[in-house]
Amino acid sequence: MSTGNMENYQETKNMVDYVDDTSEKGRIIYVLRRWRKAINDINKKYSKPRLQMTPLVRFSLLALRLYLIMLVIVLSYKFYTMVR
Amino acid sequence: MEGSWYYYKYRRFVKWLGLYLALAGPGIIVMVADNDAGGITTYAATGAKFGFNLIWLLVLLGPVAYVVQEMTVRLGAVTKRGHAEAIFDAFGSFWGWFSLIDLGVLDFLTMVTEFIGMTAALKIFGVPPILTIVAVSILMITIFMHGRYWTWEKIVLLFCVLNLIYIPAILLIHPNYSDVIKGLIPVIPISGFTGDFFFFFMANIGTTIAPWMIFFQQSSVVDKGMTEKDISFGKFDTAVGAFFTVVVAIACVILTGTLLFKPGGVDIDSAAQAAIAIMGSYPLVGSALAIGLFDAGLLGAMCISLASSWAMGEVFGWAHSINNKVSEAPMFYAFYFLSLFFAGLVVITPGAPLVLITLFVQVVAVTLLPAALVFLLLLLNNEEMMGKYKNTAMQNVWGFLIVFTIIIISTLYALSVIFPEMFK
Repeated sequence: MSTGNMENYQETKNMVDYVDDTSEKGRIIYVLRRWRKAINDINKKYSKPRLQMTPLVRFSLLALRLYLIMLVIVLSYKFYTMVR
Repeated sequence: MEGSWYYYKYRRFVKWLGLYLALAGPGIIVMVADNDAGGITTYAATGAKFGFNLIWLLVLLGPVAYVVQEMTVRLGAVTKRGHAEAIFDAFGSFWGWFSLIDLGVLDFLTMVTEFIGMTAALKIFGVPPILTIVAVSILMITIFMHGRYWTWEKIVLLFCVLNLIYIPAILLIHPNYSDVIKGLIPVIPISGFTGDFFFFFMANIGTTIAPWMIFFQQSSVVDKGMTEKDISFGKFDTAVGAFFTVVVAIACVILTGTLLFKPGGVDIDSAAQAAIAIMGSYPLVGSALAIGLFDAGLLGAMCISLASSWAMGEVFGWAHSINNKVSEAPMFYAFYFLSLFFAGLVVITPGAPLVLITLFVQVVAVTLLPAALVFLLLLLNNEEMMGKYKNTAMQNVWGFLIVFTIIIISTLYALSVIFPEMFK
């Protein structure tokens, strides 16, 4: 069994264990695990970007990252001045 | 002979019109819903502050909105994927999650502002906010649960027609049409290039393209089942929508520009305040403005909540079509109902920071808008994905020019919201 399949098996087994647990805590944990599994599946499915990383794409993504960092700095500054 | 040629042309036109009416919808809906409660407030305030001086800007914004939204039609029809799924697929999970979470937060906050607009509008007629929210939620759920995209779309199109209520209202107030025409010529007002002027200039551009519009129209094209051969109709539909959005915006400016504007400008905080002020002298016109505001909020809420539900469904792999019944797509419908419920709950919660939310929407919007627009352009330039429908050189020139102008202006607008003294 490959590592990925092992992880899936373990995750499914854990979920099945909690299905049997009808307590409130058990149900919450079951729902949370199901969500985590769904998110992990999405991350696996889209782990590699399909778009070819041409210089234009690379530059655009870098520019977006810098733009977002700038926004975070501006908002942090605003928050700091408000709190002060 | 000549008669039969005309008859042939007439039959061809009727056939074309029939096809268009069957395919019409996403473009008109997204464009008219763009004039949401926040948009109507911006136009009403612009008219009261600057009269007809900024009408030329609204005319220019029609083609701007068309250039951006037309790309979503092609992308949806060719890839058969919504924008959220397309971002995950093309740029990976980091940008995918960023866009999805940001869209979820932004759409929720924007929905709150739509509810604020609707409750303020009906409060003018004595309807308590809680009743408005309950009635609107029931109406939206009833329309949504019909189980057919076609029915949902045609009902929403009826609400789009109601958005034209400002046009008969103009006929009642007899504006100075020569002044309106003068407003089509780009000029800076006598007061000069002041901070206020720049703020309103940015606010009007800022309302032109919202992130939810990109996600909504692309998903809508997919849910409707449009294919490559329908692209020309989709483009025409978007152009018709862009025309109506400009007409409604200008009509709103003419209303407040005629009835509220005084030399030096009049400050109003909301469209509801403008409606109350107008009601004293023109009760019918004031009522029309209030009804239009309510309709704008309703259209916005219907489209925005759906944009988020579609995006979530695409990414999580839930059944996510309006053609599905509730039992077939429970998560899709649950997400829609919950977003409605919580947005309504925020508005009726005593002491909720509604003003802060209204301002915060602009700030959150600029965290997502640049990414959504840049991703759109990059996807439209991918030959492997788009084939012969990829952007031409000319479309790229306009696309990049418009996208970067919108990003810069929207960012400056958000900064002016964060730091109100910045452009004073």
